[in-house]
Amino acid sequence: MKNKLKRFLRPADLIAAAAVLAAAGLLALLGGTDGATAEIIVGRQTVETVDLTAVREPYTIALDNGVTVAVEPGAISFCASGCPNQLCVRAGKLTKAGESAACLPNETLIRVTGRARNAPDALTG
Amino acid sequence: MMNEKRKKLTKLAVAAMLAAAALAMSFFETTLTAGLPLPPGVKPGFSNIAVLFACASLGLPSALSVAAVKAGFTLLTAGPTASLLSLCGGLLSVLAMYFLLQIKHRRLSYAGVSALSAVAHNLGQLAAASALVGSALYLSWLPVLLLSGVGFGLLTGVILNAVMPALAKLKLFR
Amino acid sequence: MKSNRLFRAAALLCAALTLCGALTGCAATYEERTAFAMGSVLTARLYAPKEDADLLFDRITEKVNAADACLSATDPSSEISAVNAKGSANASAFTRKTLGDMVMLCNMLNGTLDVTVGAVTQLWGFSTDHPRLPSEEELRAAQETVGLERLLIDDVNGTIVLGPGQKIDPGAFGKGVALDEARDALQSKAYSAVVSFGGSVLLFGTPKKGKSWTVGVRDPFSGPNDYFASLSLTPDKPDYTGFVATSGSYEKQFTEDGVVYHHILSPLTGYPVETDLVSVTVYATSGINSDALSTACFINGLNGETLRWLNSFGAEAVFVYQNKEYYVTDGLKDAFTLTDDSFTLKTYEE
Repeated sequence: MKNKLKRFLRPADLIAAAAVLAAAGLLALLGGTDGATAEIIVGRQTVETVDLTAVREPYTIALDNGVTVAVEPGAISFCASGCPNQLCVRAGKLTKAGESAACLPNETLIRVTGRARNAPDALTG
Repeated sequence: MMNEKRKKLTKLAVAAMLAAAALAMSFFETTLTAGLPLPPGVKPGFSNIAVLFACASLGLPSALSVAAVKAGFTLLTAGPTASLLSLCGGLLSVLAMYFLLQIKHRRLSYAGVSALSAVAHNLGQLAAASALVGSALYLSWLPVLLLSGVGFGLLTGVILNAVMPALAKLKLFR
Repeated sequence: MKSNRLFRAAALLCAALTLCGALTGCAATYEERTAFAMGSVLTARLYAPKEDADLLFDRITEKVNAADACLSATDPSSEISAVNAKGSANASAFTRKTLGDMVMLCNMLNGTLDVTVGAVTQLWGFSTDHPRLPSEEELRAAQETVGLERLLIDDVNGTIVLGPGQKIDPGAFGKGVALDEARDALQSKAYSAVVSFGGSVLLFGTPKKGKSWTVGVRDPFSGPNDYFASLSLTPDKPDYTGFVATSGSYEKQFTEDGVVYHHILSPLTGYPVETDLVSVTVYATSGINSDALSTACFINGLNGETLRWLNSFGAEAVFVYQNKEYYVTDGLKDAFTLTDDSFTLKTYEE
């Protein structure tokens, strides 16, 4: 036992590490997601980018156009807007890569960037 | 030769020391990485050395208690959420270690065991985080955590490989 | 011997690392751009280098905004609004030609669509913040103004002349026309692209050689990001463009006295169409066709006449019903993948 421990690394260690790395690579390929960040777009300008995985406590972002966006760990949503129909607020929380919601009267869009696995290129409806 | 009672007492004392060492190492780690731009959830996990040593020389119950003490410490310093994550990660990681150390004719050294248990630790944390938030969003983080688990796990394992002869010389259990 | 094995293991580790690096590096290279136009979100995913993507997206938004400046029924400064306000006004060649296309489509669709229903749609106010149920008298009066035969497109004098009280509503065509304009912008450069415009989609080229686009069909019973099926589409010769549009009663509606009124009005009655359909999605070779056909199919329902229309335009469709049944036309069956098992296939025999 003592003898074996003198070696810092054994081939089997590296093989195990390689297996996990290969799994990580495969996941990165299959997952292909980048669903960790969200963007807030007003007009054509991206006014804010939020790393949703780094969010620890919920907070809100008040935009200049009167729209308020809520951010919490892993999710983003409209929480208040001066628009009459409140469709944006009713769209609820966005969590998955590629999801988006818009407040049309205020020309404000929030979306989770990236594409979930097998996500379609576009949505109709 | 030593009697059963003394053996038990020694075990308890060593486990307590290891728990203290684990806390010291995680504190040391936070000061060490404070300035580094590490991605969220990625950390070296030096306290893994103490847990792994506990698992290898004292057995499963002692290793679990060291992990639990660590989670309790996190409760005091970083709050309940972080503590729960630490507990889930620690539990899974100890179980992985124990399982790997049980294998007869094991070809893995502590480095391999440490790497795989670090991966298990990260998986446990990730699962707990995803369950807490109620979304699978954090799964996109999986490759990064696998990568960091393997890297830092190998590192801490190599450290344990290196200090093991010295620790053996202490003849803690004789 | 032992070091040899260690060496081999290290080589394996390096290989795994390289694999990881390569896999993260080879993500699809497209640029995504977003703008607001015609009260909808316009998103383009362009498989082009950054500079070209910026240039193309500028052109697309210019084209779409130009079309809106001609055809919008809600923007009071548009050409159509001027015609609607005065009953007769000068109009650009683009407006006259596009209105002519709309009239032709209305005729081919047997009056299921009518571009002169503006007076009726204004009464309902679905494009305003306060839609309401009009009285029967109001509706009867407005219905009197509807009729393609009273609309005159005068190319000699460059004017559009309406019948008394008549108003134009290009609502069933507008987004489609805008996407046709976007297609013109894309054709200047041969980059593949997907342009989404408030639920209508333009597909140009293919995402990769030999690969097809997937377009999710919205789940009418769930949120705007949810789909119940996907279509795998490969735009074909001659111009490698495909257009998908959906008409759904869930888009705009209001409830009064417990009755739900949706925005798809029948030109014959002036009331929302009574149907067990919730949405119709149409895949066609032009934007205006896909847009008009999706509305016409919704109004006319699934029957022999509807299928003949689709056939004559070389278009395919997906019909979705309130009881979660769906029907897919023959040409789209292979492209269709159900992703939500709670929907069931409707049996239809002509």
